[in-house]
Amino acid sequence: MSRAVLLRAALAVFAAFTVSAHSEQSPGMAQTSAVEVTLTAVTTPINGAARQSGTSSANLDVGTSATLGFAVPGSLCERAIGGRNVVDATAQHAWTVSLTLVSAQIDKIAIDVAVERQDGQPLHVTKREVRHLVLPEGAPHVLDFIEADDEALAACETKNIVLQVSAAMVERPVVAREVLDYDLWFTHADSSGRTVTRHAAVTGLQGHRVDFRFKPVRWPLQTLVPAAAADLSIDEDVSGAIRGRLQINGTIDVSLTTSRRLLHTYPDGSWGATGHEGGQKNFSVHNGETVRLELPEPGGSAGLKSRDGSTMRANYRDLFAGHAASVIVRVTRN
Amino acid sequence: MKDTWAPTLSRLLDDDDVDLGALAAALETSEGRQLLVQFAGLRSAVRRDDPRPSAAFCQRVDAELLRPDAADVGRASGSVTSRGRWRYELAAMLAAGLLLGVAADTWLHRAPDAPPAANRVLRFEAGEWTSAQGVQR
Repeated sequence: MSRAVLLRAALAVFAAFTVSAHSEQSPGMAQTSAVEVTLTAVTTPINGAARQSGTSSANLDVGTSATLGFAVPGSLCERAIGGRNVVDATAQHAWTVSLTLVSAQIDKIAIDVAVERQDGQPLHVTKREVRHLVLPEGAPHVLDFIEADDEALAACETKNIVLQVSAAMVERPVVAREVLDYDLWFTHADSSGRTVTRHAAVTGLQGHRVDFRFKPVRWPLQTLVPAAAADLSIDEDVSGAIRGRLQINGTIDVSLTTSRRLLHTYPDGSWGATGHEGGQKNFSVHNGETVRLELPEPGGSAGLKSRDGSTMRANYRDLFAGHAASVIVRVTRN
Repeated sequence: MKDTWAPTLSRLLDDDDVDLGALAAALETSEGRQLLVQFAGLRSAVRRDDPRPSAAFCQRVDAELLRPDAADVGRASGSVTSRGRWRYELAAMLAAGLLLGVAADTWLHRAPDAPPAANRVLRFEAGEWTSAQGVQR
């Protein structure tokens, strides 16, 4: 091995320890500062589906700001979107949106949004407000809405426009095409320790959200309450989405969103569910590390009806007392 | 120890491009650093090892080949039969090895029926889990 190679190896070792030392100073989620914030206009015609009709974006680091604008010069079919300069004296309606990036973690981006709306001719300010938003990546937050009146509809087939804002991390080019494998399990142990297991395996590009769904677990009610009618059952439906992002230090930031519904089938074949529960957990793992995320006990209740006409009040907290449910995830670089 | 560490460290010593993330992960642990030292020692030993056989070894081989009875090996009918049987045995060993490889591959890629043991256990903290429960009548 040449001296140059040895020198490079020594430098690589030094650099690796430097990165390691830096990562130890800020345990938990790695902070990625570059975020793309996007202002989007969604237009709904009088006779069809809504569609995205214009976007304007800016890249922000934590603590920096950008201003975007949207203007409607005449009817709702005439639109201008871009920076603050799209708002001029000819507009009938105009929005100036100033965005400041407060913090950025995977699927948890905090931005302050100051919105100023102007209407009329000449334009005058009709609304000013500041919103403190915490958004999952790519999820829209509606800022405002404008609807055409009958007179305007005669000149244009746009019924309304929704103005919304969203934010997403900017991927580092060196890892933008990395593929991550997500091995997911759902386990539910009853009070006697008997465990039901479901498995799902999904794959996604670095930073992309990937949906998953487990095959529902059917609980015959008699296994939970021996006195229950034999034809009653509850289906436990667990699904969610996962997003992973490789960090410079080799760890993987993960955002795991999961929800659980308890479904009932009725004698006439219809089905129903009460409420909705779910949550998002952000954590960081090493490549191939396995993490178990315990789900809180279910709440709520439902009135169940058997084929023989008898009814039963099912209180989920009581039905599943002593049970333990978890989602297990292992993230691996493909 | 992660299975990516060894190839990453090996590539580093070969002066090839390496995944810095995997390298950093490997060098964060004492196992990874020990592996790097082992690889460096192995490289050093290989460099010291002369690929040419020694003169004494060559002399011994020449002496064996020049023995008067050496040329008769393989000419006797018994030796031919033995060689043929050896071929069958080799073929059988190869077939057995192939079958063993297929079986091992099938076993390694079998559908897992139980989740892996968790390295860590996490819980939803307050505010991370929302519950919008209705009461169905």
